[in-house]
Amino acid sequence: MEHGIFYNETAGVWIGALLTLAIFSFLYKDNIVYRLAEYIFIGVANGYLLTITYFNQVKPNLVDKLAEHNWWYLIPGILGLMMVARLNKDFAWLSRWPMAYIVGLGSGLAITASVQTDIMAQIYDTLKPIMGGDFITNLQNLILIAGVLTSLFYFFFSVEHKGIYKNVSFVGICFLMIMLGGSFGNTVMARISLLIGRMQFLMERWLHVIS
Amino acid sequence: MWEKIKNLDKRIIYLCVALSVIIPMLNPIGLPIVITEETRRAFQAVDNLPPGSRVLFSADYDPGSEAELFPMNIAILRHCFQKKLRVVMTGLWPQGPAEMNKAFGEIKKDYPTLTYGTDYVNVGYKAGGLVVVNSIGSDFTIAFPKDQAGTDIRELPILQDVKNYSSFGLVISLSAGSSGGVVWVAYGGTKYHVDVITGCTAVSATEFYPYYSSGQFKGLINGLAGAAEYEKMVGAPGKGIRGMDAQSMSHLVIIGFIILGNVIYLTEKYGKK
Amino acid sequence: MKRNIPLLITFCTGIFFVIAFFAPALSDISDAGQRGYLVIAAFALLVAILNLLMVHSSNVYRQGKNWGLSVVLIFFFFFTSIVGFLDKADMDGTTNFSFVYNFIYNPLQATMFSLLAFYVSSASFRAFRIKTKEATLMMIAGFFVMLGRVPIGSAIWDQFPTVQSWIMNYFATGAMRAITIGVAIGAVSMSIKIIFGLERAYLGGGD
Repeated sequence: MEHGIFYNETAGVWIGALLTLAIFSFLYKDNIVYRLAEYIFIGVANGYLLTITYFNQVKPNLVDKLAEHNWWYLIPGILGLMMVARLNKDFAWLSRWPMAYIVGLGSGLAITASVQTDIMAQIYDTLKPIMGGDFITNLQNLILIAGVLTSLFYFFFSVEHKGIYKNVSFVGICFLMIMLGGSFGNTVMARISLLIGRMQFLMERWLHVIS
Repeated sequence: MWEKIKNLDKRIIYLCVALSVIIPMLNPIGLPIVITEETRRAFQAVDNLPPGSRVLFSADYDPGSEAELFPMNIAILRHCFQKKLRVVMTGLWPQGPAEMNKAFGEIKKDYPTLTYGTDYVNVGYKAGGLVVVNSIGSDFTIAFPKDQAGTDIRELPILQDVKNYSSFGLVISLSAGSSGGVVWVAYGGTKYHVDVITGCTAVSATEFYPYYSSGQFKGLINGLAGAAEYEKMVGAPGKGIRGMDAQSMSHLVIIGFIILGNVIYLTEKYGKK
Repeated sequence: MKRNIPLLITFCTGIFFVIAFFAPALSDISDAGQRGYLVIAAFALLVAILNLLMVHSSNVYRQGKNWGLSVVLIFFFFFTSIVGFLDKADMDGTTNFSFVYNFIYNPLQATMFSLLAFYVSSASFRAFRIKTKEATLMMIAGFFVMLGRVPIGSAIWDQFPTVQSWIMNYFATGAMRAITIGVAIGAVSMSIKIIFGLERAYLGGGD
């Protein structure tokens, strides 16, 4: 670890605070200071991504391997370069080869993982007893099973939702609405937390009004 | 009057929300934190590991979710070092390993004897989400031949004998969305049977609950409130606990706005009749 | 060749990785395949970055809309990259690169997202109306979760956290699980379509 020539905590906090205020200025109305901060963000974010991708992935997983004479790595290296051909209209078709590989591998892995994780394990956990245990556990299991089955039924359009089916579908809607309400509550919590984080930065590190 | 309130300038709403955050920060009330079962289980998953166990700790988030997940990051790291666990830090998001470094920087003065490469290591970021997680099940070095500083992992005592998930007692993912907790559960937990716990942003919590219910996540820390609970259990109050008063007040303000909006709506609806 | 070879690559890779799941004997080839993937995935990110640079460079060249801001973007891209490469991406402690991350990148992105706190409040006031029974149910669940997750809730009524826990662990989990299963079935069927060449959107347009 080296100490950077322009690393200065106080200056950094001031820069961070001014950039924070620049973004907040958008709440009043759109303005040039906000847009300047926005473009700085995109520039810095992509510079960061380039650096991290090179030093964390391209260098250890490709460049160093080639330097160690692992010539096998030339294949993914060339495929990687073919990916860059996407930027040129005449040679964009070359990028289909590495893209096909990425998509094929991702699809192959996704099939088994989805079946095992999102289908089998989820169904298995839904097959719970609703009799024999204590009242509370039975009730909890019943709610869970009813929630899964009725919500699934709501999305099942091969049967017209009439009569008894309409009632089952309505129960499904109720479960989905409760889920959306819970999701809304959590979303509010998440968004407020983000604001708290910025206020903590401004008030603790910049203004020193709280400790 | 209702018409006036209905067309309230949005900046007044913004000001109310800002004040509901700022005022409790300046005048803390210190309301007691209630520990949920989800967070308790996450804590126990770390607490039950024998000293010396290796933990794979992945920061799958960026500064956009830092306010919620960074306090968790600090509290869990602290807990790991209290329990003398060895921590292998990584991230499926480019900013993850930087957040890890930052979190460690916050607590390292409390653990001056910790040595890089022996007690903890940062193996950096890898693009490729599901393949990174899946490859660890076969061989850790597929994705991570070197640490973040470029040192061969076989030269680091903490990783010398690491093979695959069997070398880790627990996987912890701090997850801000896709390429996070669910990927670790799918390819690490379900396929390779390693225990996984997650800390997630509150906005993605609903998506994570089915995996917690099925036991695929051994514990679930939900948002800043979850971070506050974890801090309380670790016995080191931080940004999570300090933020709870502001969180409480702003929730009340937002509930107030929803009620006000509906009073106006119902008054207009039944007034017309 | 421009379309058929990529389709063949997708088919072979996809089928192989499905079979490899059931055949540990294939792990050496599977490992090699994954090593290659990790290299190509990194280049995919570089393509995105280069594309952004090309768009903004061309905007500056043409002196198009907001070209001055494009100059700012390009400057900060190179500034961050140069600092990062000089520091070899060392983020530990007080390097110049960690300065850029902690005091420029971090506050900008964190604040950008924190604006959502204001928008969600404004939207709650203007749009969250109890127009139907279902919407009322949603609002009640939302209130219980909002109060059950924060200390003020348990100070008002000590059962708020319990009700919140029931909503999230049983009601919301039941509905979310149905969605999870549905999405997974969709993902599996889409993957099968991709492997067998029935879904080709990823190849893009042209020949």
